[in-house]
Amino acid sequence: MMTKNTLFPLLTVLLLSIGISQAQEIVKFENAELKQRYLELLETTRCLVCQNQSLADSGAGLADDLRYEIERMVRDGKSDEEIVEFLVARYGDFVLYDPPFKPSTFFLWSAPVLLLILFALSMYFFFRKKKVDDNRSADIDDEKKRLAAKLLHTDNQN
Amino acid sequence: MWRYLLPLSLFVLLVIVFAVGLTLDPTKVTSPLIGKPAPEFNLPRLANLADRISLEDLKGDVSLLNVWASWCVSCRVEHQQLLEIAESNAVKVYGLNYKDKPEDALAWLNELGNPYTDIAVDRSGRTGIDFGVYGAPESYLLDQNGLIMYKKIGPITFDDWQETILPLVQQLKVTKP
Repeated sequence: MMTKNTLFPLLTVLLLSIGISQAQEIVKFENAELKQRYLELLETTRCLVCQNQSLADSGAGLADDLRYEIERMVRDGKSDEEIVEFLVARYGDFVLYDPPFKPSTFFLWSAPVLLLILFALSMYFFFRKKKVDDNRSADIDDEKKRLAAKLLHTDNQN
Repeated sequence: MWRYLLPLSLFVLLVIVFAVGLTLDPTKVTSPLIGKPAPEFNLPRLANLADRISLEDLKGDVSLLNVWASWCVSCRVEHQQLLEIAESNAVKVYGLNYKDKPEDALAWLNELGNPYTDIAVDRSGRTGIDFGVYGAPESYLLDQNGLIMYKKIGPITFDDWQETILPLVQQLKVTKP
């Protein structure tokens, strides 16, 4: 049952969601393929003002301007590569969520592999050393074993 | 020996990585335009909107192109330093009035003083995009041929001017008189 107390917050949420769904519809593409490309480009590019948001999510003024530029370029028939190049030439690789592999991004991309190799090597040396230790402990000759047994035996008798 | 040296060297390595990584400011993105020609523009002049100003007008001398707006709080902080730079006559200071209303910009200059030799009006912010502007204030040091030699993101401080920009200006004036 819906009381007055639950109705008001619910209406507020519903009204707010109208605003959100409208924001998505500001740019109208007649062509579904162009629209898809436009949306994908926005998802893969970073807003430099609020760096943890993509251009699709950001409400910053610059993001608005860049969305407009991207929309215009998509309509003008520019390829994805050309549009990405446009952004990278101005804002650098940082604008991409998936930066290309090149000298300046060498450590960014190879760090996981290098760390994995380092980890594998350290594991190898760690366990190899342990194995040597195990062998060494089993290295007691029969004489020593007999002596040890005797000592334990006498110890038990006491 | 290795048992102690290996963790120690790893620790030192991590300290170095963090010492560098944590003192970098991720909001300051290195511009890919450094060392490249400044983007062409042709915009109205703030002093007379019917008139135009282009990159050609900046060439021939070392210039400091400052991106500013009357809505920009940090620009207000920076303004005194710009006035002092202009007064020193070491370099010509040009303005790119970014996404601002010309009347607001003029009122701002009336109130705080005008350090700019000339000001281009970029109302739409399109020229700003070509320069890779993502937040005012930003400043670009251009050499005599219009190459971008240095970019400062955020307000120019006294230290920036004394330790980085002024030496660069002097060096440029000597090497390419």
